[in-house]
Amino acid sequence: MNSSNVVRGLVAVVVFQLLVLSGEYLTSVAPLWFGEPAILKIRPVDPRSLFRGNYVALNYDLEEVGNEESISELKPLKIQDILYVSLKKKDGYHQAGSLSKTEPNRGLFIRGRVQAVGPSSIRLKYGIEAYFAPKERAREIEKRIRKSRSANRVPTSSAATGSEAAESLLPYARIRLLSSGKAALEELQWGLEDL
Amino acid sequence: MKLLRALKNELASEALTWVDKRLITKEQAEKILRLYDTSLPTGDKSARGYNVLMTLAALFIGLAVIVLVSANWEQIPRTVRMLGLISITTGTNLMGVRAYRGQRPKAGKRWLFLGAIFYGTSIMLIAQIYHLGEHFPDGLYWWMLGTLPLAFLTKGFILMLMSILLSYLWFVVEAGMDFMPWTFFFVMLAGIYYATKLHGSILIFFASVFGINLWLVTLSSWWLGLTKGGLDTSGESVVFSTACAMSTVIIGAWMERRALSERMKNYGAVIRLWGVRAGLVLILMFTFETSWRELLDPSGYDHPFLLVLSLVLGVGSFIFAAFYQLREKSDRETIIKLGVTGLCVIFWGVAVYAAGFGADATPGVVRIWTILTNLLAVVCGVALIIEAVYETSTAYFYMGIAVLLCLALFRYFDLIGDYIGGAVLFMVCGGILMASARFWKKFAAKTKEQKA
Repeated sequence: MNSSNVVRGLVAVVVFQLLVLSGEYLTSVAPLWFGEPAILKIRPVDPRSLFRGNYVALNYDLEEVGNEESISELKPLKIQDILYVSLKKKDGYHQAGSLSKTEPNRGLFIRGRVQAVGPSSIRLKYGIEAYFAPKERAREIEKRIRKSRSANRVPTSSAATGSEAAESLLPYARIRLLSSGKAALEELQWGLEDL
Repeated sequence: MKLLRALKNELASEALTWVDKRLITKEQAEKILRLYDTSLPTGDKSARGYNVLMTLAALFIGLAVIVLVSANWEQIPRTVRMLGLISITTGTNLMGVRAYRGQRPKAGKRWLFLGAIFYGTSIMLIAQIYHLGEHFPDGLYWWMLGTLPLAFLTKGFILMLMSILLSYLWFVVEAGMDFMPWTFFFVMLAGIYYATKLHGSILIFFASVFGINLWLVTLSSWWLGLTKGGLDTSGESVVFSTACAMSTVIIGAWMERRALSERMKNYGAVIRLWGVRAGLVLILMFTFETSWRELLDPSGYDHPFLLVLSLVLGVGSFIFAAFYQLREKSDRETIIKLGVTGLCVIFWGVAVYAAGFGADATPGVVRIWTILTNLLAVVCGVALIIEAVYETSTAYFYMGIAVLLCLALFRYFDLIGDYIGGAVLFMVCGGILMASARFWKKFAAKTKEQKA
């Protein structure tokens, strides 16, 4: 291969890399720009990824969905199959409604991938399970979540102070959803007063 | 003698010393080195050192950037961070292209290597900025896809090594997440093409051949539903991976003798050497009763097809190789060499058959197989020493010694049966060694007589 062809080839690869990065960027921001907002309840833990830095792993209430009846209707189900979960707003945040293998015609819904199928529930992943933050902040979030969890397990006394009440606020994820059900994580929030 | 090819850089450097000392002429040195697909070292040594240090500097700068940006620099707005990453990746790569246009390929490769690091960093960090949690091995995959063409266009070793490492990482993570890494096979084929046609590299060739074996074993497990895509360690998969390794070693041995270029012969020698090493480790592992108990456990064999395929692959490739070898040369040395290899292959075949279709893991059966494996290890050790002396191969000589010493050590600490049983086994092994020595002495004398 002569040198001008090599240079042309190299430019093509640089353009390819640019397209990959732009594609990744655009698919990441599309739900944030055009998506519908929704609030999900979360349950976190905090690992560190070799490639991705520190993050708080978010487990959603929405992670386990379905019941015996809906599972038998959806069968056969394979790992990594795509399922759509319709979202219904109840008690100030969005909760799982019906399940389907095809995109629902109306209403808000989220697209997830099957991770495991049990006798009475299906475990799904939505691609919004990681909240990246600096190490200290990730720890802080983790600590606050644990505190709010334990505070909410014990019945609240009538004499709870302002800071105690603030610490007992539960964590929620503010997400945005495209019309295809693709979700993007926007921010974490404490309590539901923003709604 | 063939194994010296694996040490060709050292040989070239030694040859230069011989030329300097006027022991041989430069032309003679070149002629000798041509036999090993190498030549006298040319160019300034300091330039080589400069290039190595500059490449390592690029790696460290890349790592510094990864660590720096991994710290989640939250103060900067998302879009600025994003544009910064894209700019630094594109800018660094364009510097590489500029160096290539200016006929400075070495500098160009360094820039492109740094650019490839920034490219991967950008993929991971854009995912971080936007909290993307969906299937992160995809990031590794796209990183590899953006690096591999650079390696082919520039013929750069470090870029190719990076692509191979990334594809291995992707393979492990992808398979670990229950996906079948289909395209890994093609990347490994690309690695073989690179090492044979573009830029000779034993490391790349060996990694690619090993990768293909790994992929085939994973594919078999996935196809039979033993796993959803990840690596499987059941008896069937162990048997199939040994069959793949056996046929690879036989291909290596064939390449060593019949390949047209010195480079391919060199690769063949390395595959055969490492294949023999792996085979010896396997035999030594099975000199323990525990290994046989696990292998003969019938619960691990639900797919007779994979066992039959393994038998056909392992025994078939040996028969094929033996046929060609005997057609080419059928003296007593060759027959002995093929006989020992054939003994190992037959032993393996019968063991696979027994494990999959016949024997249960009763204590008596396990004991018999263990004793037979110990005797096989002694035979292999002796055969390696004899072959090493005939072919003046240091590597095989020490491998033979190591096998026998390891066996003595293992059996001293892990007696088969009671003390009497252990002593009998040691006696039998000693007997085999003595008989081999006497046979060898007679054989060598006869050969000498015939030559005279």
